[in-house]
Amino acid sequence: MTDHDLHTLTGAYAADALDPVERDVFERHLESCDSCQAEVRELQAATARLAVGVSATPPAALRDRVLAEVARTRQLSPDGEVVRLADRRSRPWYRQPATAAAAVLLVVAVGLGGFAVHEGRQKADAQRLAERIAAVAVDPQRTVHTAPVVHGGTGTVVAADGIAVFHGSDLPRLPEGQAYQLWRMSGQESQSAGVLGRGGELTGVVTGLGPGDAVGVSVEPSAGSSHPTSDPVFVVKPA
Amino acid sequence: MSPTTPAADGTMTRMALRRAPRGPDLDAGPAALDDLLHRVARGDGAAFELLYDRVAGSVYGVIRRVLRDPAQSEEVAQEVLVEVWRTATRFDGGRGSASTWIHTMAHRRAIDRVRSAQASHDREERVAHRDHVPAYDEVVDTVETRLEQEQVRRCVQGLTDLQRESVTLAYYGGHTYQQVAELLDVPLGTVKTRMRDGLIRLRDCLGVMA
Repeated sequence: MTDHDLHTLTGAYAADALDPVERDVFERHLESCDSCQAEVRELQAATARLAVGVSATPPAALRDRVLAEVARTRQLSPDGEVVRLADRRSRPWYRQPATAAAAVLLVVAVGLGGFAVHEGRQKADAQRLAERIAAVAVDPQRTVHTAPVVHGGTGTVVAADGIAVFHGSDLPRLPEGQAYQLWRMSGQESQSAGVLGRGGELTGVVTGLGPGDAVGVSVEPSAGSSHPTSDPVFVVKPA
Repeated sequence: MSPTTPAADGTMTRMALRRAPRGPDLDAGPAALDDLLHRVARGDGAAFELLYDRVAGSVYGVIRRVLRDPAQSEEVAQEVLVEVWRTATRFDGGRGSASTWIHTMAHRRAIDRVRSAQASHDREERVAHRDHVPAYDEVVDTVETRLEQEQVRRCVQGLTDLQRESVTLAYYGGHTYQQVAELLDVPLGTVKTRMRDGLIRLRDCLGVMA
C-alpha cells in the first residue's frame, strides 16, 4: 500500500468506515499530514450535513434527562493534551483491543513516536517511516508474527506487500559498542535493514521482502555490519 | 457571508434571521451555532438549552439512522449531548464548525456502539436486508430542516450509483469500507476511492465550509 492509498482513506475516515486499528493508525498519520487534515475537515463538514439530513424528532423526555445530567456534570478545563489521552482511553476499542493484531499494531504505532525522537532522525525521515508503517498496518492482507527474542524481550513483525515492520519491546540493553541490527534474510543472503539501537523499544522497516524471505535481528558492532557476524537473536518468516 | 461575525448579544438576532424561510443560510446558521457553543464552553446553561434545541433532532436522527433501535439511540444521543456540554471547552473553531464537531462526535459514538459486540446481531440482520437507503422519515417539521433535507437528498441523488451506495452504506449503514466492498462486490480500492470522491462531490454540492 502506498502513501497515495493511505491518503485516499480520508473519505472512509470521515464516514467512520475504518476498523479500529486502521482508525488509530490513520489518526496518527493525520497528525503529520497537513493536507490530509484539511481534506478530512472538509469531508467531515459534508458528513455532518448527512446527519442533519436525517433529523428526527427526539423523545420529549430526552431533553429533560440531558439537561438534568448537564446540571450535575462538570465541564473539562480547556487544557488539551491530558484529556485528549483520557478521551482516547474512554473509547471502548482502545480499552480492550478486539484482536491480538490490534494490540500489536498499536504497540508498533506507539513505538514509532519514541523511535523518531530516540534515533534523532530527521523529521522527514521519521514521517516517511511513519507513513510506511501506517500503510502496512492498514493493509487488509497484513500478517502478524510475534516471537521471543533470545536473551529477552519480544519481537513482532507486521508485514504486507513486501514490506515488514519489526517492533522489539523490552530488549535487554547491550553493552557500549554493540547494537541490534535488522536484516532481510533470503536464503544464505542477508541484506541490512538498518541498525536499530541498543535496547528497549526499537522499530525498523524491512523492504523488498520476497516470498520465503525472513526478517531477522542480530547483535552487531554499533556502527553496523555488512552481513551478520553473530547468530540472529530473532528470526521470523512473514509469508 | 461572514462566519466571523462578532458574537455577544447579536446571537438571537442572527438566529431569528436564520429561521426565516428564505432557503438554507449556510453562513448565519453555523456561525450562530458556533457562538452558542462558545457560550456553552463558558458554562452558560441557557446557551446549552438553545444549542440543544438546534442540534438534538439531527444528533438523535443520525444515531437513530445508524442504530435503528430507539432505546439505544436515545441512550447514545444523551451521552453525546452531555459530552458536548462536558467537552465544549475543547472545541476549536479554527478546525471546523460547531455543527461538524457535534455531528462527527454523534456519528462516531453511534458507530462505536454498532461495532460493539452486543450490536453485532442487529448488524447482521441489516446486512441481510441491505436496508441502507435513507428514507428521510420522521422529519423534524420545520421549514429550515425540510429545506436542508431537500438539499441533502438532491446532492446525494447527484452522486453516481457506486458513490452513493458506498457513502450511504458506510455512513447510514454503519459498515466499514471492507464490509461495503463485500456487500457491493467491488474491490476494496474502488470503495475507498468512491467514498472519498463521493464525499468530495457532496461537499461541493452542499457548499459546506469546513
